[in-house]
Amino acid sequence: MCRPPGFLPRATAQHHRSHVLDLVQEALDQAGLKPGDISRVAFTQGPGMAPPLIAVAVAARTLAQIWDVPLIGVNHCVGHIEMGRLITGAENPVVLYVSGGNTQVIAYSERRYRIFGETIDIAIGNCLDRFARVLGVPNDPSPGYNIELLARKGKRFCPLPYVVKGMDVSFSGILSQVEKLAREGVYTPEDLCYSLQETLFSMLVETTERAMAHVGSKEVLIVGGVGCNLRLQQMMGHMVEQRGGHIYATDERFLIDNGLMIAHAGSEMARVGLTTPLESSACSQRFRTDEVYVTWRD
Amino acid sequence: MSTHELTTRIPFPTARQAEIVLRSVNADPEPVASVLNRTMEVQDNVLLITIRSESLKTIRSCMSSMLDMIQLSIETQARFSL
Repeated sequence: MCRPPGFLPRATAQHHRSHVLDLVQEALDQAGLKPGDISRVAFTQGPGMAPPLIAVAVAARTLAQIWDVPLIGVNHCVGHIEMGRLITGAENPVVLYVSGGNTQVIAYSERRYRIFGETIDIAIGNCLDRFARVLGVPNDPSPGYNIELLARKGKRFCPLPYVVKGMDVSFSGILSQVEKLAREGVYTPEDLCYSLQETLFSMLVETTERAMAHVGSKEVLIVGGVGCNLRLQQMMGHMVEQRGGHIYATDERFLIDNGLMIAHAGSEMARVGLTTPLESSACSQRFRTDEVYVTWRD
Repeated sequence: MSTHELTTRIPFPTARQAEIVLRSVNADPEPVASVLNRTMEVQDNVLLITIRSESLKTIRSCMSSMLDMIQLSIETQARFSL
């Protein structure tokens, strides 16, 4: 369901509707469990596209009722953070959450995952994917990965707009400029991919470093699909090491969107009694990371 | 323009099944409440859906979505009930 210009909500919802129940059965089979063994149902309440969110929520609400177990609505970003913390063992890191739909610098403070900085327009993954489309780079395995491969062969750095506004970043200007340069054909695709990555990632390193200084943290955890990019990990790693700190990133099994992160975050929430009454379980396209009251950790 | 109204009655084998569908599907409100009004309730074993809008196209689109979601809840119950 990924056709230009990107994912289509209705088609994605239909895909989820037609696969969700088979997936539930497959998960039960692989775990060797029966429906009666399940004690809670966690689902993604947002953020994201409403139609596909709702499709899965309907199935989740039905399961919670027929199995007579609590329902837990989980914030997608919090799912990424909790999975990252679990897998890496990072104690109290500044979190860089970078994906096709989100770009946020997050730090935990007083029961909230506070957004210290974010994109004021498009997400970094979206920027990379759209440039990939302009270049005609294949979608397989992912546009971002193919951009990364091209960037490794780049030699000439082309100056691009570097847009950091306080703690926030802006990517649409850079995208317009690099698309224009691609059309002009003066720089090779490899050079443009290289220049684009260096510029985008430098912006993220700068804002992440500022958050580290602000909260006095020496750890950085990268989550979200764009975290798979080795150059980003490398650049962030240099900065963190210079500050005497440690960078945490997992591999793509845990960085890319997955159901396990929702189940794990939901489990943590349920542990402290944060379940979701059915009548309050509406999905929300713009569910912000800092709306969640985090009572499951100090 | 006049307000159009579509009322749909879906009977279920039991009241509980109708109730489960209601609570699963009614939790998400319509995106633009000013353009369309949707209510759902269960009477005995019947799920009642009323959709009001000045636009027939909007009513058709909403009903189509509702039926997809109701169908999903019914299938979920059929496959995974204890």
